[in-house]
Amino acid sequence: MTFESFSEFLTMGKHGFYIWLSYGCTLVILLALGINSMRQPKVQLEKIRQRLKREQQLKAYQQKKAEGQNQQQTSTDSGEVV
Amino acid sequence: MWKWLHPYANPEVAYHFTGKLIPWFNIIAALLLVVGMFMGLAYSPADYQQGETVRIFYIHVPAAILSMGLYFSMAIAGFCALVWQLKLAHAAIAAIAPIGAAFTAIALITGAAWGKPMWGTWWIWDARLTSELILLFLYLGVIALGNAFDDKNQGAKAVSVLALVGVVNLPIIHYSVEWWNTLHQGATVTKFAAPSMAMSMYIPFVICFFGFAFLAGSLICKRFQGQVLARNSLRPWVKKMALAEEH
Amino acid sequence: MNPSLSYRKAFQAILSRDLTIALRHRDDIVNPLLFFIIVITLFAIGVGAMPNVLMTIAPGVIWVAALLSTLLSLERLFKNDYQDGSLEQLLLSPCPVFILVLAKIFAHWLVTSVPLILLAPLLAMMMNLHPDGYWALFLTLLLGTPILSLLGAIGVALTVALKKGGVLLSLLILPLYIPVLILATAAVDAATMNSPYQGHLAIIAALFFASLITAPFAVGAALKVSTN
Repeated sequence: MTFESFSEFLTMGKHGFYIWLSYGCTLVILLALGINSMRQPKVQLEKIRQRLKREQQLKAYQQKKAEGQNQQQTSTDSGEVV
Repeated sequence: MWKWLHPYANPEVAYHFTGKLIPWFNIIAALLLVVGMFMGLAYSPADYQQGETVRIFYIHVPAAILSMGLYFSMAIAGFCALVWQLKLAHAAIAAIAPIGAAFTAIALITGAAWGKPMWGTWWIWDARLTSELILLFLYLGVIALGNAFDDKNQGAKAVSVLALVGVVNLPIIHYSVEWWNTLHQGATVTKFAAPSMAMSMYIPFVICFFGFAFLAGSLICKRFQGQVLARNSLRPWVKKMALAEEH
Repeated sequence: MNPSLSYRKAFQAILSRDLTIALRHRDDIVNPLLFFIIVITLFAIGVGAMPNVLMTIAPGVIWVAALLSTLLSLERLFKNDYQDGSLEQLLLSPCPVFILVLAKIFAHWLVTSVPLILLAPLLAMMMNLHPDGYWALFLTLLLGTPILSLLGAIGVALTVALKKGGVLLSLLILPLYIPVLILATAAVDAATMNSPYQGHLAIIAALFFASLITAPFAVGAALKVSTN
């Protein structure tokens, strides 16, 4: 150990501020980057899931619409016959 | 070798392979960083000229080395992307760029915090700091160009070209800045008064360097996974994975 | 008879086409020059018109202004051709892309940088540049501006397909211009101090030839990416 006491360790000669500043900045940047990176796959999966859901809804809606049109058509057809 | 490498060009295999690497990288990085930081902060001796500020060295120099090394690895990925049309190389470039930029920023900030007690000012147009700043611009250019394209494949190819152009220019920029610095600065303040490092400083430095390198590797793998998913979003395996996570 | 054009003829055809187009849109030539003059005027006003202060910053200011005005004019290099589709036609032609790109860059240099080089002594006089520096300024501009056009063409080729490529272009290209800026201003500085500057010129010339050989390949690759 180069330091006698903990307070000496914190002050680091008289340059404690600069040393802890650089270590702190590094920690903050790496933490931000780490959290952002670790979330990446989940974020992308979430995006894909939302897109799939939207596609499904669109498909269901179009199907419903097509069915509705068919029904309407058959009803008008039958109406003409009558 | 190609036969051995071939299966890893499959996005699904690559995704699971990097997934297996990440925990190992994390463990190694955490161990090395804890040990290295502890040694650097508490055990290594203070420099006879710079005093305790020399402890910034254990982050500043690994970050600077990694920032350069990551740019080169990005350029290599760019080369693979252009020559062999590897789609996975596209994902790799997009994964590496933000990590490299972050390490460049760390090198700059710690460099400034080191400069204040040493030179009396936060910023000095020192050759290394200036090259590091230009490297940050190059990284930001790569990221901005990649984001500007709507079509991800087209963007990745453009970024590959830019990364290669940048890597050719990087040595020229570096040497011209160094030369410019000696021209304007006269006698430059060199950061390392002693020509060779003492063993008590060298060991923590090496441990810290590998710690940061493994951390960078793990983060790159994670971002790479995200990029692979985004670029293969129409494949059945990705769809299955997306739907499976819902529950 | 050779069905395809010879390389020289292809080069000449594109050169004359680009020059004709440029001469029909004179604003595009004049505006960057005006910008060049205005930037230098602003520097003189902003720094304060003390002759000795101006004298020390003159080489740097003139070169930075030249760099920015080149950047301003670069967008025109491929944009119109990309929009009307003639760029794709050019890339489809049997002639190597290297020749085509080189011809376009040369035309661009002729219409934007040559007037700038001719105008530079006048501005150097306004900036109170030391008389010994004029010849060095002329030579560095003559050798350095082609490098700016060649490297800039890479950036333009990469961003031509984007709607908002302008700001991005400056972010991509300006860091690559730094070596030229450093060498050129150092050469002019050396000349004003009456010390030899041939070494600087030699390195600028080396950069010029290196970029002349390699940049058109990068531009070709970038154009192929942009036109998809």
